Amino acid sequence: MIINQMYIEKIKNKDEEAFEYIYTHTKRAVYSVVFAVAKNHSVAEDIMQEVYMKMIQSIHQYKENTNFFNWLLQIARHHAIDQYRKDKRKLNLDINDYSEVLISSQIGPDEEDQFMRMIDILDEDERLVVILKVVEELKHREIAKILEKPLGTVIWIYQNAMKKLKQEGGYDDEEE
Amino acid sequence: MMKKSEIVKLFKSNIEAHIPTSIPQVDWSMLASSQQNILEIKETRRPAKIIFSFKAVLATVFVMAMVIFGIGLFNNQPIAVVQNPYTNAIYKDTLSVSAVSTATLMSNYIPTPVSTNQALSFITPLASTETITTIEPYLGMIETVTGQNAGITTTNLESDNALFESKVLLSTFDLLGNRINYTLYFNTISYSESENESTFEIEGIFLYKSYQFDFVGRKEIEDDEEIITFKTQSGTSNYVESIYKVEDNESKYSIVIVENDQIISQSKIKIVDENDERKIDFEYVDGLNYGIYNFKYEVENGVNLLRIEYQTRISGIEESGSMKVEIKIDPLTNVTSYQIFVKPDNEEEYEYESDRHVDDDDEDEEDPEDPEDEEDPEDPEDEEDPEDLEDEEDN
Repeated sequence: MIINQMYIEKIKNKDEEAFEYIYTHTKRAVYSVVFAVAKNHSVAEDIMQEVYMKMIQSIHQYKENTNFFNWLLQIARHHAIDQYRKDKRKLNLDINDYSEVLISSQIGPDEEDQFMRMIDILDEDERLVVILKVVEELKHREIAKILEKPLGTVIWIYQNAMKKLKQEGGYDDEEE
Repeated sequence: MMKKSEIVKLFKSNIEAHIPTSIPQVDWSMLASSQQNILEIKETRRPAKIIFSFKAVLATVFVMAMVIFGIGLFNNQPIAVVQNPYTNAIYKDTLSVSAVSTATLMSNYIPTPVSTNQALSFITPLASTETITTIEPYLGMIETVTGQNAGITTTNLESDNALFESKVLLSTFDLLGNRINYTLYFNTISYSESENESTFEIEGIFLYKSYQFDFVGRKEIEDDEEIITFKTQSGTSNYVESIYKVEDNESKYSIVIVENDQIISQSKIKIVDENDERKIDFEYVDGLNYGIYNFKYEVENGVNLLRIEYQTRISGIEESGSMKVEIKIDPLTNVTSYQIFVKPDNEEEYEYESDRHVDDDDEDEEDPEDPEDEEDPEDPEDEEDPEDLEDEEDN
């Protein structure tokens, strides 16, 4: 995704609309990254807000003509990891303890349970790659740049993760 | 039974259902204190630096292994008084191959502006994709090793660095005819010579554009085999080691990349000259996966290209076929990329586009004959900010 430099300049000038534009166009990817690290929706929501504050705080650190989207996702990933390290206990809530989340969620408890089971069998890199791939629909090449990993490694991670998910979910090979 | 599409749907619907819809209130006063450094950003960049370093170090290993081979294997003179390798026919061939290998690997691993084009038609199963991505990092090396076939120059010069007694300039060309130069400075730590054997150990630095790495190289005789080992350190537990052997009249390079004391990559490369044709056999083994690729340089309708025959077994899927690699130049940006035409034996033909990691200022490469073009390894003015290069890669 390419964010026009104009919006970044506007943010430097405290333009609310520019921030809204960037938030609207990046929130899904940022949330995906944060959730992939935190593995918890309510915690991810909190961290997500902090990520955008970090972005505002460090907007002058952003180098023009580099990929703002990648830069933002790197902030998101690092901040989520940082929070994870700071308070593992907070982030490692029981994966079944999401009744609060379900209140406002459109997802049924069975689906939520199934989703969390699948999330739980993936390691952090696998979660990042799979979620960015299937939710944000990024190309492997784009994911490789965001995660700063070789393309082959990302493809490899994705393959392995999907294998795990297929096994967990009883994947039907005819689909592929 | 759950289908793949259901997995995707489950992930998508779950994540999307939780994305906050309300836009956070921004405390714009934070912007006022924006001069503070955000360590997080720098820390996330660190892995890229390590990855880049490894890439460059890998290429460095090749360069130095070749130089050591050239200087030590066929020349019984101490390194300090080595003659121009190109005065010896055998030496010349060896160094030609080595210089091209190493030079191209190095150029391959330098971050460059990335082509805006993505895969042209990316409709192949993932196993096939891995067939390509495995060799992607090596295409630069193969390109120049097989490409121009001739334009390789090795020049022994008087060292202009007081810390090192020897200086070697390597100059080669890529498939497009652009020159690539490298500078090596080193000292001979030990040198011994008997009737039929010679061994040595050298230490030095390798310079390519703004990058510099330390290295240790040695030539040993083990069980009548001449082995040249080259090890470059990056951090305390990260290194790249290259072992060069001549076995049954074949020269092979085994490369091991170690990161955090873990081997992350192992591969072998063999270079064969036959009937005025230069072929490169590339082989890798990763657990149960393996791949064998035979590279050959060809000219087709005036276009320089690489022809590849391959056999792979990835994730239990065996595949064989051929590929054709051409260089595509973006008419607007002049950024080059590899256009790869893949023809699996049992699947439909498809195309793939891969980034070509060659600095866009290759045309401004220093001339090894022109001392004014040479960088001063001790002059910080000559050094670019690696962060800037990483940022270019981000584009």
